Amino acid sequence: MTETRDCIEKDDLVAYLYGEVDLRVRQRVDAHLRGCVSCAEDVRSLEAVRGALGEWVPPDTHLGFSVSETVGIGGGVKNLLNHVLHSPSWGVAAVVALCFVAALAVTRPEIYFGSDWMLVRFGTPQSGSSYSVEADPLPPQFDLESTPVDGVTEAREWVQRVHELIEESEERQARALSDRVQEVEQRLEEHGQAVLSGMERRFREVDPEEAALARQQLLDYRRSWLRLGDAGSIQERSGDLNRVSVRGR
Amino acid sequence: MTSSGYTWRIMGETSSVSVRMKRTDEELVALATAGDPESFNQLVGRWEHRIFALAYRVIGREDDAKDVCQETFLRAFRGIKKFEGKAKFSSWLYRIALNLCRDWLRRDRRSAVIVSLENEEQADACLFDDKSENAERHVVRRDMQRVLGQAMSLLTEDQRATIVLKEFHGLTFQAIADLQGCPLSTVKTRLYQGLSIMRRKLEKEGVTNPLLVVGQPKAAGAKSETMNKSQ
Repeated sequence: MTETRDCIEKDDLVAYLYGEVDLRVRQRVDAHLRGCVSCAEDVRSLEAVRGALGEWVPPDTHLGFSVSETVGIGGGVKNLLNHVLHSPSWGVAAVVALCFVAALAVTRPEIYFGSDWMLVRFGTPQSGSSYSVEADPLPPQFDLESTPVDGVTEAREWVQRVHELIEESEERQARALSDRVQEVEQRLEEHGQAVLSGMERRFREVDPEEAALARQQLLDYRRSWLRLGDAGSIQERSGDLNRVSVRGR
Repeated sequence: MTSSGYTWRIMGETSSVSVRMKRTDEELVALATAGDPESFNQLVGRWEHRIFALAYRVIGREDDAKDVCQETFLRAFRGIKKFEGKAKFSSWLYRIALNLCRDWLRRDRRSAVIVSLENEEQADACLFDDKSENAERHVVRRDMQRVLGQAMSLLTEDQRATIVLKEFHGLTFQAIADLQGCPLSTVKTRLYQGLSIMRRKLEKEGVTNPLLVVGQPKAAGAKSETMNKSQ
């Protein structure tokens, strides 16, 4: 922007822009702006900025501030509570931390740790009380070393009782196993009889001599099958059975 | 916050104030000084939005502006008995608010009126409250808000406060000079320099022409959000 000696001073230009000039100054500025392109452009651009500023609106926020009177001694406490409740979360956190520090200062706790114990002491060493907490202690009836002398008899009775329970359990398991074995043997016997009967019915349909021979072989095989303890596995016996051949007519 | 047996808090609507007989600020100040908190509440209801707007435009952050606004009235309440009435009550409030804004800006060397993305979203929501506004104009206004915020951040604290007081609160040059404690010519210089800086910024951002579209330039002497509205 070029400024000549006759141009309007900036103070007057601003005053003119906001209408805070008397009539004489206004007329002088108006006359100058009609002949000075530079000042006219200056005023126009500043008016444009003012127009743009009109778009700068603050958010429509709810305020609603007010004061209310509180009377009495309780008012102070109420005010404090209100202040804390309406303060940011860090304020509440600070109050809690302050209370915690105050509690520590009053109780003066001392904490000691061991492999299986923890000791918490409150107050001064001379007058304070202490509480000991053992970590994961064993049941007293099994902790013979820490059990008082009067409890030794009771602990032994407990051990004896446990032994008896274990023996009873083992006996029950042995009986159940024996019953199961007998049941399997019986089923095998029944199955063998059924197979033998079926084969005998087939033998009647073939040559009597071969049938007699085959029957004898089967009886021998069955005897060898039932002769527990003899040499030979189930697989070998199955192979023997396969060798029995029956020819049809 | 507490003060001398009174609780300062945010309450619900204060519309009940408006149905009462209209008193001048000076009358309400006199009643409040005599110990009537309700009179002070009427003053609060009358001025809180303008104080908030002042703080928001100087600081540029809504939450902080609310804090400044609340602190302004708290200090006014505490010091109401010391208010001698030599200046207008509104000028006294403006002085308190401007001092608080200055303290806020100088604390931790904060920068003012920087429109962050978060603020843009808030501004977006605010702008879209006007259902009648079409999308194109909404975008123009949003961009304008952003550029204006950036332009205001280029100003000095005094230039910014001067523009806000003059442009949005309609204070006279003399009133601004009294508030800022400077000569009348200094106020005019700050105003001219501030507007010129903003003009260059707006031209640089290429929003010179939209200015003429979205906002009609005010006629010489026109005022917005003037103090006279409340009186």
